[in-house]
Amino acid sequence: MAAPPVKLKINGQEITAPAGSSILETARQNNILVPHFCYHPHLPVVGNCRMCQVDVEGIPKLQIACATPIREGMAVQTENDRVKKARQGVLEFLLINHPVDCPVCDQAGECSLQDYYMKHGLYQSRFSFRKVKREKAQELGPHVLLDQERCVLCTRCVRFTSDVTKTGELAVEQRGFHAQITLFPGRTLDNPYSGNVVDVCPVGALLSKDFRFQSRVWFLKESKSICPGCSRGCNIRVDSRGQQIYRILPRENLDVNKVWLCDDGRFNFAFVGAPDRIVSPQARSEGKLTDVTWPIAMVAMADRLRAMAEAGSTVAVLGSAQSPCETSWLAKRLAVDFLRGGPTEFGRSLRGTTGSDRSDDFLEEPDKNPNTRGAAEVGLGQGSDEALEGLRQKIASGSVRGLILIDFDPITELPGQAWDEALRGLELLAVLKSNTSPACAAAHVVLPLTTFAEQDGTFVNSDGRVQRFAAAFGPVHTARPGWQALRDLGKMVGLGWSYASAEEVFGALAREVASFSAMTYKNLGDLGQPLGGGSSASESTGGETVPAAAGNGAGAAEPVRAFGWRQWSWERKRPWE
Amino acid sequence: MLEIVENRRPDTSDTEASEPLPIELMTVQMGPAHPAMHGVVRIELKLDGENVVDADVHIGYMHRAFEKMSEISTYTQVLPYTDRLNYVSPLINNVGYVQCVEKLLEIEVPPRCQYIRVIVSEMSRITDHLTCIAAMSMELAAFTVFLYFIKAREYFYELVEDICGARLTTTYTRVGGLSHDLPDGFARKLKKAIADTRDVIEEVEGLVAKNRIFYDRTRGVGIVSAEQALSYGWTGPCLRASGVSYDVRRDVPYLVYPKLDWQVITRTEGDTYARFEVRIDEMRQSLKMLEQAVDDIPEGPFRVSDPRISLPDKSQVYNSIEGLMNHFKLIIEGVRVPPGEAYFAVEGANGELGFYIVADGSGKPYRCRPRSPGFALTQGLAPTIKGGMLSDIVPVFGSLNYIAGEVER
Repeated sequence: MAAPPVKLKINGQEITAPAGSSILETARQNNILVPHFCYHPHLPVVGNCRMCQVDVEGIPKLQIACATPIREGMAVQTENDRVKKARQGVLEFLLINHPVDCPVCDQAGECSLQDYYMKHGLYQSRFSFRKVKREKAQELGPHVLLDQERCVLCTRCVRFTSDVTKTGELAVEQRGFHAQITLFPGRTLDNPYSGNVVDVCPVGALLSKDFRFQSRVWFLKESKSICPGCSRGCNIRVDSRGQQIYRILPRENLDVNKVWLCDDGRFNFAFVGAPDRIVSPQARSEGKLTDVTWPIAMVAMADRLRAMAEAGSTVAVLGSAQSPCETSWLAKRLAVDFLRGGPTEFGRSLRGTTGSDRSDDFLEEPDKNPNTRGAAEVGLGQGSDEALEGLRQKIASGSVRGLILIDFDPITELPGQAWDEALRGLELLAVLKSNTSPACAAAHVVLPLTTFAEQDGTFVNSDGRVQRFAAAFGPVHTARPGWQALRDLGKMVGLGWSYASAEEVFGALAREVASFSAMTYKNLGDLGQPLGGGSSASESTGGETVPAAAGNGAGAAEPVRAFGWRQWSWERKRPWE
Repeated sequence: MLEIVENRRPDTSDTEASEPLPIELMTVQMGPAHPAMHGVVRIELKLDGENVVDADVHIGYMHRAFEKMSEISTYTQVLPYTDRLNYVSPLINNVGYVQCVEKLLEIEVPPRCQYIRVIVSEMSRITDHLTCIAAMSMELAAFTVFLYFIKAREYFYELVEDICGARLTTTYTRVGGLSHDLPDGFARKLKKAIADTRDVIEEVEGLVAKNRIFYDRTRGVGIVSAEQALSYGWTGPCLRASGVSYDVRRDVPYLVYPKLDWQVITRTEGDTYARFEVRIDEMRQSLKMLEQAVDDIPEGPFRVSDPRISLPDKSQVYNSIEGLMNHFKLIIEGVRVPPGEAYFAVEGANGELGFYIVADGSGKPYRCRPRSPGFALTQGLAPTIKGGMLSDIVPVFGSLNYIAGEVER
């Protein structure tokens, strides 16, 4: 059914592209950027902004690149004088009523109008009249504000609500000069994906209430990460400054989340800097938990473990579907190599870090743990309620005398099941967690762990896709990554572990666990890889016929970036650029 | 640290004459806080009485990471750092830096701007030479020279303040032009300053040039031959005092220097007195250039009108979105310079002041390296004072015009 690829020329450059593609999309896939406002690769094409006009040989008037399909032998000019003049004209018209708001507008620094003016505008304004005044900072819903003056009527937001979420809250009212974006009467923009309209808006008309006035965007460091909210594993970009997250944006991954992100995942990062983060390791002496240093806490734990091993007592490990693969795998190794015969299991949080329990058929999944598959794959256990109940009974009966809890608190997650009582009866309870919870009070040793934002690691989503995430900043307080705490513990009990980074742990993991074979951080790249298909890094997931030129799944050659994996480039790009 | 040196007692009987007399060299630190050490530099001296047997120059007390800071600043944000390089002639640093950026941008500034840049460069050269001779003379106890020349320097500092609001932290030039035009009445004030300074130079020359003490302390002291000076990498007045006629303004001309009528001053002796003479005469030449330039200065714009480089007028910035966006992006991102690398040299007061800039297409330089003339001069300090007397260090060091800000960046 595939039509043969088409040969055309853009700016004199020979290009081969799949038939049916638009000029703009073809150019985009070949790193030729045609400016546009209303076009969006994941929204229906409307062609109302007229910014993407290009000169097609043989056609007298300029054509809009977003809506013109490519033809064999087409010759397109995107940079000649006619096109440049047309772009200037479009900009000039769009800017007639645009408020002089840059100093107070959040979009400054990542604004299409600013960027296009510097590249394609550079003219002096000829407008000497009063600009039209409209509503500013209008609340559309729980997360989004609308500034009608700044809007350029590209209608991306309208198309998002009508075609992607299919909820239809937004519309254009009035006509011509008076046209503006508005809510349908009686509606609010409260669909669970409302935050995405802020992403698609090319100007500062739609703004996030959460991020408004918090920071200028050029101060923020961008880190590629994975949302820890549910098992979808949406690819995100964490914008941080110092040791604080300012906002979370989606990253494009056609196989996972396209370019969208649910509000639960987008707005719930407060737990990273919350006051209930465990500030320091703690150890129990004379019945009281006191703050100690890492070496003291680790020595206490290692001594107790060695004593229990000699006495033949069983120590179990209860990990978590919240932990990255590296942590879970080292926990399993500790259990197998040192705590011989000790049972291992992992728990799944009911509401996870977002605190939400909603799910739908779009992105948000009912499993609120980012790494259920990963914990299962590395052999930590089954994660089922029955398995956990079995473990609790072993603890309660006394056959398991010690427990290492990692990133999971059964007292809160499995309430009413007498876990509290069971934990208190243990000879050794070691809790390794990022945020305080009731189990810490019953512990003999508490070790503070980092969250997803402070460590490198991998999660496996519900589809079995292994995806990397990078640390946005270093550990807060005295926290350490889970793999590092376990490595040091392993060293202390004589296992000789010397992993120097999460990458090394992953390398060891990939050698031992069959479904991860041949995977490395490098070949996981930006978009991850499916389990079991680790050998051929150039394959994208099967099923969809994705055009050959799409850089999906590390097929296209990665340009050498000066900053490594953690940051893109000097340019601030929208997630799909 | 002590070193034992063999020596003989001159007045002993035969039996004792064959015994060696141990002599210890004295190690003395001259600096970093020393009244005669301009800026901060430390010379570790090994003295045999008054003779300098060995000298080791230690710099770094004023290193402020100019080059590293340039990597994270926009091209315009680097400008205030350049003021602080050679801080007695800040405008020359400003001019040199933007000339290099403009070379990368492949633009030429309008003629009025070129004339103004030459005028402020020569004014800065005069302030630098005045300071150098003043300080050197003061250290040779000719305190009057210091007071007279500092007063003359004030004439120019007042003019500089008129132009850009500051005496040292001028930051006057911008990429593509200047921050603003000359003030009203500038030509008149400059001509008065020129006339007054001429008189002061005459007066001081009369005081000091044939003064027995000054002459004896500087003639034949710190002789550096032309080959030695070239091997150290010297440029500027110190090189020209050793007989090599090299001046960037004539040999690698830039701005409007070819249009002005002036001479390159040289001497052949290569000693401290020659360096003093060269500076005095260079000031006279600079005054001559100033007179010509201020008469020839054309009307017109003082910056290029390219919106990718120059800021728009404030009336546009406050009243139109286009002007505001233009201003905003230029300030926040900086002027985008196409990728490439360039070196541009100007004649600083101490010699060839070059800027080597590597651009990567963004608004911040990838690398900005100033070639400081003072660094090469400092290289030649230790060999020149070795073998001399302790008290000769003072005039030699003063005549080299060591400016810590420039040497250490």
